[in-house]
Amino acid sequence: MSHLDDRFEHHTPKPEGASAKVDLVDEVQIKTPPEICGMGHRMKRKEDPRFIQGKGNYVDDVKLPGMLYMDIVRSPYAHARIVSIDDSEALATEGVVAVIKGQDLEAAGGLHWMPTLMSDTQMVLPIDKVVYYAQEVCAVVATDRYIAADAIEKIFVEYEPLEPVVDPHEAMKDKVIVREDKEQKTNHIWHWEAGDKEATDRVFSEAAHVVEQTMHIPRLHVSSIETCGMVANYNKATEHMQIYMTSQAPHAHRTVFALVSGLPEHKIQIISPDIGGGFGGKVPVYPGYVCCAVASLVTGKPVKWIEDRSENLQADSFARDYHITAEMAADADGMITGLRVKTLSDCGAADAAANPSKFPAGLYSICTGSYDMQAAHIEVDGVYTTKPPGGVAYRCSFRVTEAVHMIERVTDIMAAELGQDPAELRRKNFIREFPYKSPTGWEYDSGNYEAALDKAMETIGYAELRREQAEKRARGELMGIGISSFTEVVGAGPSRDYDILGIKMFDSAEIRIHPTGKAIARFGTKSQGQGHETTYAQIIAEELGLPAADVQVEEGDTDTAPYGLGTYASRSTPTAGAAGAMAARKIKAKAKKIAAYLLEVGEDDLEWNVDRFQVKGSPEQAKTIQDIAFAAYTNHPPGMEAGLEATDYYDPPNLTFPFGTYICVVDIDKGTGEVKVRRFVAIDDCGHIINPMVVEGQVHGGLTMGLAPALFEEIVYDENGQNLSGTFADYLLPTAVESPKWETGHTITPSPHHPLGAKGIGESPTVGAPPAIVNAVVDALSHLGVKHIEIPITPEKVWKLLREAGVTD
Amino acid sequence: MKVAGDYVFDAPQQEVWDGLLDPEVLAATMPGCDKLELTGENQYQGVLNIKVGPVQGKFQGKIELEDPDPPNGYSMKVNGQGAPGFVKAHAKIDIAAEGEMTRLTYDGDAQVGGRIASVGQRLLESSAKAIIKQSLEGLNETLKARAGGEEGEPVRVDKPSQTEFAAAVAKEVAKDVVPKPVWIAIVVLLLLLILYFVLS
Repeated sequence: MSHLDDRFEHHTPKPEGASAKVDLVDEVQIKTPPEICGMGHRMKRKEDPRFIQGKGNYVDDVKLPGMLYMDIVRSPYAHARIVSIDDSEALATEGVVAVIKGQDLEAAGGLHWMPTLMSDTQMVLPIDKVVYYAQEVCAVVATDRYIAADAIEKIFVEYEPLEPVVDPHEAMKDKVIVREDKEQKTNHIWHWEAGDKEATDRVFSEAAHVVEQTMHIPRLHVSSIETCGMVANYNKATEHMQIYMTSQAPHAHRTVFALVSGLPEHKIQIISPDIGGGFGGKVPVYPGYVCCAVASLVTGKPVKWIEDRSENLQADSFARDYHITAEMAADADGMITGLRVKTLSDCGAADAAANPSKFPAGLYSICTGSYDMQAAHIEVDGVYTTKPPGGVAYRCSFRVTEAVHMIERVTDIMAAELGQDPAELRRKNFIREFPYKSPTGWEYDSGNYEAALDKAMETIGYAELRREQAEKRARGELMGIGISSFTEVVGAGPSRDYDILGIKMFDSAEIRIHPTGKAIARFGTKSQGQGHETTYAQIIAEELGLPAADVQVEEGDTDTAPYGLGTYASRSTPTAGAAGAMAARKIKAKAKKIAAYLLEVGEDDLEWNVDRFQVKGSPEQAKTIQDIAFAAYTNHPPGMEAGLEATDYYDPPNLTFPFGTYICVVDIDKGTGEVKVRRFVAIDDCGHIINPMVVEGQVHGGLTMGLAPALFEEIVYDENGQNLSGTFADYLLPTAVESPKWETGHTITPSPHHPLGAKGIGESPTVGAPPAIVNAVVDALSHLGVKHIEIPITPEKVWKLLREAGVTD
Repeated sequence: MKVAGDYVFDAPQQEVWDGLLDPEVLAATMPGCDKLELTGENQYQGVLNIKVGPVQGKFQGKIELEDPDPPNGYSMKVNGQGAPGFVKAHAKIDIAAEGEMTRLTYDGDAQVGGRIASVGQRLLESSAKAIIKQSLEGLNETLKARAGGEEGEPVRVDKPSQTEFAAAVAKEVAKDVVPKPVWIAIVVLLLLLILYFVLS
């Protein structure tokens, strides 16, 4: 078995402090032997050998004969009329093939505008005015990447600057109209409500305690290591458009391309090769993609467009940017009774968020979180500003990060108001009975919040830390402990409610078993680093007993993979993973018939055992899945179709609700205001675990991405709408140096409706971590009267608070 | 971005005034200035090659003088556009005699946008200071050379090279970041280190 050893990581840490007090369900179930490697095995990722050897195949690795290169002229103004564009010098440059302007796209059939995923419209290239800094103004196509880059400097655009509107509160006053193309001359896009207003107002009028807090979840950028790009290859003879694209949702993108361009869908092939991180940023269609495809259509040659880092940071869809006012009510006993929230969503120059159609504010109304309360009412208004469009779900299920940040902060503020320990206030108010119907209409599938809280508190040694904090505070040292007991809502979604541009949010799997018992499985999702090639193979191994190593997983080619809505919002395992299990079960049903025929017994006499059907009571009479696969092509029952394959389109009955408790300990330097995360314990519950090592990897990465907005990241604009965070020198990403040692653990509360009992996990840590860190910092400063700090908590902000409090000079 | 400061010339007030309004002299002294022409009364047009951090490129600019009050000062409006971005500035220039010398005081507000602002913003203020300082120093040298030279003889002043400009920017950055005593300490420490390595 030595050849198998390489496939596993042997070190299986048992989370420290496993409790005897509470009955924890934290043992990962393993039903298959290591050579089959079904669910629960710590199988090393099948995709990693090519990634770590630099043998991945990303869009920029695609090189086609005769390929041209595109670069983009971008606006230096946030709001300006275009007076003229002089491209004569650029066109006269040797090697420049074409310059594409808004007028050219208009002439090509109105392609100068495109729909956004929220059914708004967005300029591809402008004709009259630009509405955000770094907006695409025109595109240059040249024989060489360097010629293209030089040529954009030779295009002279004359602008007449207009007044920008950067602050969404100002934008609501409609003094400057961003979208003059709209019939309604207002910046207000939509108003959205959830919950019961009357009941909520009543709860607040009867409340013994009410706290209120405004907060801003600032603009962030996903900053995936690979920027966006495309190679478009139009063949004028066959009229076939082949597109390599950094796409998290290639099928949906192909449909959008077909509808917008008028090209027949079967003549468009989108291939999403290896992707270096998506995090929601590769869900929208950007103007650059359209320009690149048009450039290839016009020239009949392959055209490559790859953004540089600054373009990616400045023009691609941002995330977050919610301005929140939240109120929480509690009764005299400290039971939370209600939540009232008003939010302004800064959409930028177009509503280009990537939410399901019926949810302009995404799944934000999950914001009552892990707490049982009588009533809640949420209002959100979308508004245009002269900033890049977006609102992508950055490693979160459509605005859940904003929701969790708000509820976890306000809960701490309430604890301070009541003079209660934040852990105890949480415990007291946890939802305890599932399924749970929330006041904003969600039906939580399952949960065991107290188990996660207990395990996190025991692991970190909560009581001891509180003692230490009291001693340190007496000595004048600053130390804080912060808790976040979050609930996520992932896996969109049931087709009755969830669609993107009308396409229902099911997902799909197709499994084909070859005669020798090996298999290929294709999915409608698209991994961007999540490890689908491994986890999907393990799901099939679990269901069919085929070794995971024998299952080749493919995604991302619209010509071969079944139709699906792609990977984002932690939906892959809840939807496509479930489809994989269901397709495998269809295969198993046929396999049973073949086995019965081969063993000359009735189907009812057979039972499944890991990788074979055996005759009940005489297990030596058995046919393995490999025997059956061979027979399916060589000796299948008369009257039965040959072959062994199945497809499943899975429409989930509900979303899944992963949860967890994170506890963070920070120390603050009184002299500099620097926050140091000393410890961070993350207890997650994502139901049954397919591959614990992949889950831990997801949690580690997600926690680092949660540390980022808490302490470092923010896209900053000046009053003129200029992006001041256009490089990684100004947009600060945490590195290994800034990241603490993440201590992870889990509880297991299976989803009752998912075929494998699994829930999504990729985004829980990004969603749950920021408020734990902020709560810890506020806790460290609470004795100085600090109730809230806006993220990112920079040393400067803390230092100013310390100075105001007279702690430092 | 606020740009303010002063500079003392080794020249009489009238000569400073004349020099400041002479496009040829200015073009010769301003780092990166490719061209500066008088296009109308109190109106100039020029091409400036600017390098701020990693961003560099040509700016086409218009300069307009307002309320000229010879030789005491004027206001100035600058509008520049180019591939790396745009500059829009307004400044007030005061010129006053101080005995044999002349003190120039400037106070302006500049709006800078585009790539030059978003990518080069950390170096923007330092670069602006360096450009102004080197231009004024160059003008001072020109005026001194003129005063010393024969009548009618063309005066040649070497524009600062790319390296000299970069060094000036670095100096401005260092001034902003590091207090003077620390700066001196660093230099001394470096010298000691070099000495140590040479000796060993």
